Parts: sequence; structure tokens; C-alpha cells
Amino acid sequence: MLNLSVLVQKLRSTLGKMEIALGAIAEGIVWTNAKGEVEWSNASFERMVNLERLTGILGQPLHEILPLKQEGQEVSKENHPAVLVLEDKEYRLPFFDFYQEDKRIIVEISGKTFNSSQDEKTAVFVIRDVTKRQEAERRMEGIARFPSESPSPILRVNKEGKILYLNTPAYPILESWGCKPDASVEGEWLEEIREVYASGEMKEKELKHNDKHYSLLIVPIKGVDYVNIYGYDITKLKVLELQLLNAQKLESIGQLAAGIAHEINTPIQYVGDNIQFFEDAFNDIESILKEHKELIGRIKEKQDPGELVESIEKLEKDVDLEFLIEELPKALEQSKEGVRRTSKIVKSMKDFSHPGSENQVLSDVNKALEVTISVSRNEWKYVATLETDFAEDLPLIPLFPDEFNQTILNLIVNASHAIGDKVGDGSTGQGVIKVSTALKSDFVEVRVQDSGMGIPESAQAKIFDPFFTTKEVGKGTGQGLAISHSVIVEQHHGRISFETKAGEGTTFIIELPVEEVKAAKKES
Amino acid sequence: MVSEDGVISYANEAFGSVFEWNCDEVIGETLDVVIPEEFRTAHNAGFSRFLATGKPHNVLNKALVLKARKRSGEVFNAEHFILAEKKSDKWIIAAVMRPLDN
Repeated sequence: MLNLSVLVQKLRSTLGKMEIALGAIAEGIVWTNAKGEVEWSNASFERMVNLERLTGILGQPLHEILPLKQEGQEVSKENHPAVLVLEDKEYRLPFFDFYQEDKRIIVEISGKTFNSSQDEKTAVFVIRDVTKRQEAERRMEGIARFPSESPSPILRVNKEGKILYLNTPAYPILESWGCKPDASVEGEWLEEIREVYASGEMKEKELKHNDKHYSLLIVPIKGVDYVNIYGYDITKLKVLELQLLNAQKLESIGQLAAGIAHEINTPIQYVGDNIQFFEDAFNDIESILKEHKELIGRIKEKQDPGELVESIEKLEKDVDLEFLIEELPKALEQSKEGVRRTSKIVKSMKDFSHPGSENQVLSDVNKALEVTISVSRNEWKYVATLETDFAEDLPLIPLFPDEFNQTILNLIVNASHAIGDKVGDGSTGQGVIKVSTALKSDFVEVRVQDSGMGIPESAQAKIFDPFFTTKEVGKGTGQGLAISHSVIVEQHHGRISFETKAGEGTTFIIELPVEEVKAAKKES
Repeated sequence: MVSEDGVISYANEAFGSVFEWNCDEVIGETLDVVIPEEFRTAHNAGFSRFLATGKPHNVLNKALVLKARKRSGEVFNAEHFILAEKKSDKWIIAAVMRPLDN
């Protein structure tokens, strides 16, 4: 009897522990008999169905206390997992909707039958509340679809250049790289990817393919061996950029037009005055010649000249013939000079503003500078003197002449404005603008120096930013230096920088490569 | 009344007549005899857990309508009132049952 008691105690102890353990599990666990009536359930199941085990669960058919829906439909008794499992049948989807009062939860039900020792069939079910998990999965699916839903190219490339992911809009990018989707990137782009991966800093690079322009942002991701590349179609932007460049050019031409009109007007004025002088002088001389002719006639006829000689001498004095003889050649010279000057201005205008260049042309930098200086004379001549110091040994270098001239014009206009800030209208004193060129090994250096107020420290970092300006509203849009920067750096593969000293002036330094730089060798 | 090992230690006459047992016959039997088949597993588990934790699962000190089993196997509803007390380190469990007319 004692042994039995101890044995029972041991069994009870084990059983008690199992009951506790099973009650601690979050999943609902249910056993049913062969008829599908619940023989045992754990505490979690009680909570799930909101029933007391003793009074509400035990002995009840499982399919009745756990009514289910699937895909919006009520699950009938025959299709209920409680029944199917006992019939050793499979069910298609283990996920069901169960309604706790009004709250819907999603449950995953798995069940298994086994024959107990008395050869009676028993089934055990595990019912897991997967509502949160399903919601999380759905969210994840949504997020996973995200890059494929993007209309902009998205790629993922590992540090060896292997394409790990790409969305449909990224195919043109791959085409441009000459790379197949299941292959690896090579060449220039692989270099860029490696650089980004190594430096940990993102980098933007443009790509042109067929008629489209893309901006690709290569982004390093911490802790993994790949980079993400986010693309953006900037074709429209490029068109706008071009339009802006043209608009700016037109704007400056418009600005110059007034000045040039003034420039041309002055010589034309005195050419006109001189022509008037010629006309009057010619009339006077003609009247004297008439008298002379009369005199010659009388002498030929052997007639008495009478008072004719006196009359002629008086006439010559009246029109001040001596003066005319002396001045007419001068006036002629002056007029010729005026015409020459006007022609030069017109030619400069023509040279300055021919339509935008498609290709680079081997050009004489000094000549281009002269043309621009000439065209812009009215902008600077009131406030400054302009000195030039051109190197004589400059080779012809590849230039986009139109854009280059535009850039120099910007710098000269800026210089004159800077000096204007210092000397006002120039009546009490003028500043100096100095334009110089020099040959430095494999590039040509152009310097535009002014004696203005200098660039304040606060503005120095932003000076090449688009739309940045220190001028008041209405005076300049801040585009000039930004465009100049783009022209020199991106178009000509050169460099532009400045030195400045407060109160003393600024020098802009442009460096242009002597050799045409091929895109593949570009270092920016 | 039931001892700690789940064995019936006492039954009154009323029990005998309702459940159709001889009182002395039923002493020494496990509670399984008065519990319908489908509840036995749960009862054993719950009972064991109670002994292990000292915490009953909402069963003590209140009226519970439960199914009970006569000797013949006939199942009927009865209102149960279960009490448990620890005396000198051993549990004494008692139940009062009042049959209900269905």
C-alpha cells in the first residue's frame, strides 16, 4: 500500500507539472476524443474562446465551441479541422478567422490523431493566434513590393559588381552599362561602386542612355557588402537646364544691347557731325571754286579781273579756308576711326553670340577674351579701367566658345559690380579689372581680378550655388556663377576657383585643359 | 471526501443512494468512477496541478453544475460544491453534490 501511495504521488506530481507547463504556453492546446468532444484544454484555449473549461469546454464538440470562418465563408462541420483531422483528412489552408465577441483574430490550427493505449482514437490540436504575425507578414509583403512598384530605377549591387536586385525601370540602366541582369557590372561604374562602398559616402553620377538622362545616387548601406542605387529621370531637368542657359544668355545679350547701342551711338554721332561739317565745308569750297573758275575764265579772255581777286580773298577769309584745309583731314580721320570702331563692336557682337556650340572648337583664348571685353565695355568703363596681360605662347585649346565667352562675361560683369559697390558711379575714382592668361604645363590659366570689396566669408562656400546671390531683388538671379561653374567644370573638364581679400578685391581663376579630355578618363 | 492521491476516503449514505454505490465499496476507488469518461483526463490533470501548486482552477468554494456518473454509467447533472483544506500538511478535499432534475 505504501509503494502505491508513493507511486501515485509521483504520478500526480508529474501530471501536475505537465498541466502547469501546458497552461503556460501561449498557444491553445486541445485534446478531443474520437467523437470530437473536448477531453482536455489548456488555460490559453479557455481565454481564446472565453469559456470556462469545466462548464463550457469539456465534453463539448470542438467544432461547436470554435466556430471558424475562412476567406469570408463560414466553415461547415464537415470542413472543420476538428472533424477533418479525426477523419485523417488534410485541409488546404491552416489559417482561419475566429471571432472573439466582435474582435476577429487569425488562428493557425494544426492537429494530429493518435491512438491511445486503449486503442481509442484521440486528437490533439494546437491553435495559434497569428493575427499579429499575419499583419506583420502582410506589411512586409507590402514593403517588399515597394521597390518593384517604383517608377524610378532601383538596383542593388554588391561590392564585386554582381546585380543582386533590380526593378523594371532599371533595365535601361543595365543596358547602358552593357550588363546582363544575372551578371556583374564592370569598368567605370564598378569603380564608382567600389569607391562608395569603401568610403561609406554616397555619390551621385549622371548617365545618358538613348534619349534619356538619369541621375543615379549610389548609397552605401552599413553592415552589408552591397550598395543601393536609386535612379531618377532628369531628362526634363536637362532640357530646362539648357533653356535656362539660353535664357541667361539672352538676358545678358539684352543687358549688353543697351550698352552696345550706347557704344555704337557715340562714334556714329560724331561721324554724323563730321559729315555735316563736310557738307558745309564742301558748300563753302564750292562757292570759292566758282569764283576761282570765274577768275580763270577772265584771265583766259584777257579781261580785267576787276575786284574779283579781292572778292575771292574776302570769301576765303569769310569761310576760313585755312581752318577748313587744316581740319577736314582730321575730321576725315576721325570719321574713319568712328566707322572702324563701330565695325569692331558689331563684329564682336557677332563673334560673341553665335548659336550654342555642339562641339568643342580649337580656339584662341586671348582672342575670345578680347571679344568679350570689347562687347562688355559699357558695363565696366565707367567704374574701372581694364588691363590685360595675355601670355603669347598659348596654344589653341578646345573650347565651347559661346559658353566660354558667356562665363567670362559673367566674371567681368561681376567684377565691375564689385568695384561699383566700392567706387559708386566712378566719378570720384575708378577701380581696376585685370584679365590675364598664362600657360601652365597642361592647362591654360585665365585670371579675372577686380579691386572691389571682396567676397564676405559667409558667402564664400555658397558662391557657386544656384540661385545664391548677394544682390538685391531685381538685380541678378544668382545664376551666373552657378552656370559658369557648370560650364567650366562639367563642359570643359576644367577648374574654377577664387581668391579674395576683404576690402581689396577678388580674383577668379579658371583652368582649362589643353588636351581634349575624353569622358572615360574624366576625373571630377 | 477524497485523499491526496485522489482516492475516495468517505462517502455518506445520500451519496450511496444517488450514485448507486455501497458506501464501503466505493471507498478506495479513484474519483474516476463518479466522473463521466470525457472529463476524466481533465480532472486528473487539474487535480494533479492543484496538488502541485496549491491553486485550484476556479473550482473550489462555488456552485458548479457538472455532469456526474452513477455506478451504472448513467450520466446526470448535479450541482457540486467542492472544498479543500490543508490539515497537518495534507490536503483534505470534500465535495457536496445535489442532483438536479434535467
